Amino acid sequence: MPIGSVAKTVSEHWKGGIVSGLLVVDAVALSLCLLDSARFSSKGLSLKSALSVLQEPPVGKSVWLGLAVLVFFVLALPMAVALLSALLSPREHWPTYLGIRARGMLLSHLLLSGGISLFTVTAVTMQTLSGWTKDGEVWRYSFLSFWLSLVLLGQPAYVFYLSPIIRKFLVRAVAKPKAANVREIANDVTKEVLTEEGMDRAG
Amino acid sequence: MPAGRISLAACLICLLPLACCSIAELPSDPEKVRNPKFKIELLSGGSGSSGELGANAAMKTEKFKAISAYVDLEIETDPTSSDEAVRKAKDLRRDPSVLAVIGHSRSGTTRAALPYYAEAAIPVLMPAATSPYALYAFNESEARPDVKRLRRDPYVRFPNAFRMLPSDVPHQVDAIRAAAKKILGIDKFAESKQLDTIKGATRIMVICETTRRDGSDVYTKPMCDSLREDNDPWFSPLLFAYREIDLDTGDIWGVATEVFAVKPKLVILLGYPEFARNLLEELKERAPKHMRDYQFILPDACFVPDLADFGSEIYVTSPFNPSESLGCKSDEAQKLRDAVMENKQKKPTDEIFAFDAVLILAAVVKECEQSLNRQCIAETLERNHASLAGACQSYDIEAGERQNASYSVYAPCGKELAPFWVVQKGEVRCDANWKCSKNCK
Repeated sequence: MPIGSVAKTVSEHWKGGIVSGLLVVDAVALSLCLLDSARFSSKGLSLKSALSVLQEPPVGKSVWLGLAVLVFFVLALPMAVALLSALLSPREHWPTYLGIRARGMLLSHLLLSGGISLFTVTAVTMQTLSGWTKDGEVWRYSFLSFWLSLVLLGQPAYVFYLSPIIRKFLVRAVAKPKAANVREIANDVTKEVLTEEGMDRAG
Repeated sequence: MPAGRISLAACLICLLPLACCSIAELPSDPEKVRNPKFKIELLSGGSGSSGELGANAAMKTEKFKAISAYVDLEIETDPTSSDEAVRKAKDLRRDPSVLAVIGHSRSGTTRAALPYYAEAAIPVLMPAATSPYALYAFNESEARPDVKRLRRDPYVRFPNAFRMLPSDVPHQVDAIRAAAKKILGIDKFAESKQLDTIKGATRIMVICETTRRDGSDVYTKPMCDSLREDNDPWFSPLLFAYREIDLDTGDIWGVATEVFAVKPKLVILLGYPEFARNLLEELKERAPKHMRDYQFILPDACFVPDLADFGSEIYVTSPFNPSESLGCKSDEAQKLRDAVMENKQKKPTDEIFAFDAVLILAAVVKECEQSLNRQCIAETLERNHASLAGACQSYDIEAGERQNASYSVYAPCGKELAPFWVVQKGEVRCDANWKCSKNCK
């Protein structure tokens, strides 16, 4: 598939997902962030402190996490919405308040996404600032961010499934550079990992 | 939508967040650390310091051994400048395994570091800082606040800080004033109400070091202000001269010249040892024969033993009185005495405060064992504030401030200094435990 064509397809698909439903998702994420902030303050710590720690070097890997969340919200989420409308139910059949398209919606979504990704980085600092707790034999952060836990939920799935798929795919694509059907390689690799190797690793 | 688009979109959706999460690694995640252990950070005055000696001795006690499976005591050298103390505090604040801090070794560095510990709610036991400023939040870059206003709005106390020594104001100032009156024999004149008789002949000079770099101003300003604004009718009329000096910008030569001009009977030096040594060296170099004419009062943070060899009479005010440790029979006190002996020290010094700080924290950690974290430590310290048990004494620390404690005034006794008077709540009594204080009236 030519690159220009892919880009156009992706762009159209992405634009199709910029609807009011997206802002609802943003709002849900934001409320989780606000809930985390309130819980953090209730421990006698302040969000202002966490933000001030963010400005100090070394910034660390949490910046990549924030960037990832931003990319997810800006790129992947509209696509997910578009995908849902294609797979589950056409957007015309959605409740009115979820399917509205209006001017300024994209900008609002971008702003909210920026806020959410900034909060993600802050949440890492909040957990660090709270220190550790030892409950019997269990060690954990004294403050566990709900939002951050949600963000990091994908980590095991990546380790067990996606990472081997990508690795195998790349190895085979390099080994057979003239292979006509890239999708075929991807399908084979996915099938292998999800049916056998993935299970072995999880077990 | 064609199947190709759907799969492409699905791939992107999955790929992005999952790939992002894979690179995410939380700093010092306790679930991923092998054999996690809490840290109690002790910032002492350096290798061989009394703080280090006390902490090392405390690690050998049963109380500490009982928690050593999951708590380490890390002893580090306290930085000498406020900027370095801030850097250290920022590092500790970012370390989630830090359970509590004992330190720092000076008021200036403690004051500089406390706001950062407060941001992470790290409980701090202060075994050395005595400045009233140390406990309160205010802007470092602005002028230092008036001490009388400290307990009022807008100055909020750091809720995580607990001072083991009594505050300089009023306790150390009371001790300095009482010592001055005793040394100059003001009491006798006060009885006969002949103050005017001695006013001409007896002059007191206060010299205050205000260097910002090492936080001297944090330590001295509250005491200097209190002495300058003192309205004791038997003390304030004798304050003939008051001089401030910043070691980074001022010159000791000028201060020494002023001392020669004023000819004070008694000089009160408030600062750190570097300043006291510089001044005494300058005075001795320029007028070695006159050193006997001066008497000096120094708070203990300003004193190091070699200052007693300059030929003048030196009196030192200190919150530490070795009588309390020597008479104490507890096992822990014996451990400390053994450590002091091993260190070839003749008698205990203020290592007892670092020692007690470790014991207090060990007891609190044990109490919090079911769910151990910084919050529990701070709450338990606050809850038990009236009776925090050290090796030989129980500390009453209300609203972060040490209560019911006394200051001792050390006076020359042969070739060394020994406790002579004890000052508590403005009352002065002779310390009967030492041979030289038998002459005390």
